[in-house]
Amino acid sequence: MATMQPHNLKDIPDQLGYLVLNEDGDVIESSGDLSNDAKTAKVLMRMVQIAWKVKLGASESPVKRLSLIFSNHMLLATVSNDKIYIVKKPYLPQTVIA
Amino acid sequence: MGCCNSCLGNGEDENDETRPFLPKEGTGVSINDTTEPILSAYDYDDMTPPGSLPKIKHDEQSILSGIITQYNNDVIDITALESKIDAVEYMNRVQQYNRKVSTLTSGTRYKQPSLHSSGSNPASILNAPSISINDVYLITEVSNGLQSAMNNVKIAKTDELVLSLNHR
Repeated sequence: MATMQPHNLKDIPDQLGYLVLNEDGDVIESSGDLSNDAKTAKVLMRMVQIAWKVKLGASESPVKRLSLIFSNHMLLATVSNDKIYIVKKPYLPQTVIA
Repeated sequence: MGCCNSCLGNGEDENDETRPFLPKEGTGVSINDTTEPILSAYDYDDMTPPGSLPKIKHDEQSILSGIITQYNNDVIDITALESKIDAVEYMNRVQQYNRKVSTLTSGTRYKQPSLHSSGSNPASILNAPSISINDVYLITEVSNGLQSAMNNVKIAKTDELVLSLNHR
């Protein structure tokens, strides 16, 4: 039922590493700074499970992405077809002049 | 210990290893829980001539075979089992049982509800513009405020918390 489309996480321009987890939280694929990082996988898995339950409001679409912002890098997680995709990127704050 | 039990009438629960195989002279100890007395070799003095060995042997044989059949019923010899499985059949069964177990344990009630998908192209979601610094600042400020508010929860006393039962 789930077509095995190859993900193109590698092609994300400034990615420093990525993880792909199955619906049980097991690491299917890993690369770069997140290579074999089961600890990060476990923590992110649990955070995604909790975050995906948050209701954003009646008219809002459900949660699409979870971002963990650290001082100089960030972890982004999303769910697609029963798999969890996590990518690590540098955090470059772009100041928006409000 | 088991010699005189048949005389006392306690035959059924002393059917164990303490009972002698061959009866003492003159007593009727039963081997197969029967109450028939088994004549010992010495009982034949009056009935048979002294040289009649075959008859004595026949009775001993029947005693011994009675013992053997009784123990055959009680003992399971695992080395003599007939069901010999060859390796192929054994592996087939291993796989079959494992499949059965996995279907029983991986049913829907063991699964958490699946997370909703954000689309079929996760890279585009993850590549989308990242959160602005203003939003990060806002979130950090609000979180810090919440944390200090939770740390400063106090209970203000309006009524006496402890009442005495004796009112004067």
